[in-house]
Amino acid sequence: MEELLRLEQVSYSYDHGAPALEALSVTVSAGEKIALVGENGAGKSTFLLCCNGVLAPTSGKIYWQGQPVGRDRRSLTQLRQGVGLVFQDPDAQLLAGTVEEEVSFGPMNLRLSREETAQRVDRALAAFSLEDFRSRAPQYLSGGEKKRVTLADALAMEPRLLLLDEPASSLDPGNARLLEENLERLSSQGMALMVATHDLDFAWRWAGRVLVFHGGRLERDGTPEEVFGDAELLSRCGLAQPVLMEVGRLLGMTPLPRTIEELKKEWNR
Amino acid sequence: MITGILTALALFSLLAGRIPFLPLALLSAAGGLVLALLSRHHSHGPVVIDQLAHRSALGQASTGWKALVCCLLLVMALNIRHPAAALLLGLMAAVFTILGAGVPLGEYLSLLSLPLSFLLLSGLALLWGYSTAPTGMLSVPFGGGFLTVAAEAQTRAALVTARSVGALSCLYLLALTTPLSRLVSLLRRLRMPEVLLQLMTLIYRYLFLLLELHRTMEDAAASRLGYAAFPQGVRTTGKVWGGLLFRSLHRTRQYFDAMESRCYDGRLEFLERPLPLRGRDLVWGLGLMLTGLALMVFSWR
Repeated sequence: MEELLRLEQVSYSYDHGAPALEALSVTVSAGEKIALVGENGAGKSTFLLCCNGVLAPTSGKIYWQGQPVGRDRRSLTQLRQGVGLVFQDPDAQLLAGTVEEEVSFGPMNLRLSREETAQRVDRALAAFSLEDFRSRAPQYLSGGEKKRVTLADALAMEPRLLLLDEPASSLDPGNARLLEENLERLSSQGMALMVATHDLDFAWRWAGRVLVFHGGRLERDGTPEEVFGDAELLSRCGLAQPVLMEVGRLLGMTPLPRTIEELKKEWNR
Repeated sequence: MITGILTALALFSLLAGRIPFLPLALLSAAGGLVLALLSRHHSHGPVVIDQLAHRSALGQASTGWKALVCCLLLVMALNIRHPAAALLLGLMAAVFTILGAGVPLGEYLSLLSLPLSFLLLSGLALLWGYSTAPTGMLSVPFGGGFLTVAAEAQTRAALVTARSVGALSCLYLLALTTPLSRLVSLLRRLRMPEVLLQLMTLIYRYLFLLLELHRTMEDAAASRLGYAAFPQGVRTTGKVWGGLLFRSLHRTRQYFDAMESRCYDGRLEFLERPLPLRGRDLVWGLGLMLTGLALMVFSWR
């Protein structure tokens, strides 16, 4: 698999504070589906901000497609273009007067031509069915619509890796399902995704790889089966076993069902 | 409440001696009451203006043209020499804003009430003078002399107030139909320095977030009986504002991070779709300007 992002021994501490990230090493390859789990304050958001180059690591190195990322404008722009970040609170991200202008902010900063910008905006709006909201003010949209706009914001930069910080935290079940479909679609188009989440059932059903954070450290980096199969790890990091995994185990199924559909199929056999 | 009383007083002194006492008193009281009632919802003012501007039926009209029409109307309103003509011009702009641009009457009046009461209050300063003898249309003994309202002062105050009201409703025609982002892009085309444009955009955007944050914090405090009695209310207000400062500083960092993550490099630009000048906009604009011009020329004679 082609390597996209590599962090080597990255540490970060907010001013005068205890380290929020400690000696963290991760490699992300193209097309991966990674879930970040861990308690509040475990370092997930800080990690995402480092991956996008918003925060400069206190020590350690970041590589984008094999090239070391410095703090100069050019390599930061390259990193941020390749790595999109969707913030947890849409209001922290929305700043333009209309949805269309909002989505154009990233491409405009990349100094693309007008035509290219307009095309990218159109594609991003279409990808999240936002065409009808084009000239609406993003501030007055509903929570789910705002989230879609912020996704389109990131998508318009055409990143190879998309980071999402608790994307479903303020969504109702319908919008959360829509979000998951959108993630699935982006992933099938070859985009690597990294999602910080507290929804362990989602992590179990969706992720191909799970990173467990605890107190600023990366406690475990493995497949969902490995991570959620380790009872000691789960209790130490304040996590729990996903419901479907537990059900599958009780019923003695192999492989363990990831979705309700898989469970039903296994059950009916 | 205080607004209402002062407004009534201003209306009373403005028209004292010009119309009989009873209708005058009734009119002043009614004026004060209306303004007091209308000015109750001001904390949402900026949000209402922004929402109206986004929903406006004139939202797709060319911004440059709208701005030109409104500026010229404003100049006319300030050059009119008769209060009635100025009020008529203002009324025309108001009626057009309400019917043509689809601004609800109630909202319009409520938004107008704040600057209107301010105008009437400043009228008080123009009206009342001090003299040694009881002259003029109204006089009240005060500290050995008299506070008086002279007839010329009434004429002057009436003209100034009427012009301001006229100018105000011309300005509302622009403000209630044009979202700020459009005005900023117009100013950019007019070569306003980039740093001012960025400040306008960011301050405007974050003003709303701050207002919302403030409302949430106030609601949260009220739900814990923070405003149950006056001393508590004062204490709570202080805490809410302190918290607001802290939270907004914290959030500034978040907002900046979010901009940085999308490659912000000191230039705040968005994709703009230019709005062409349409025939119907030309028609209403010219109509308004010609009427305004006629009113102005007529008032000069």
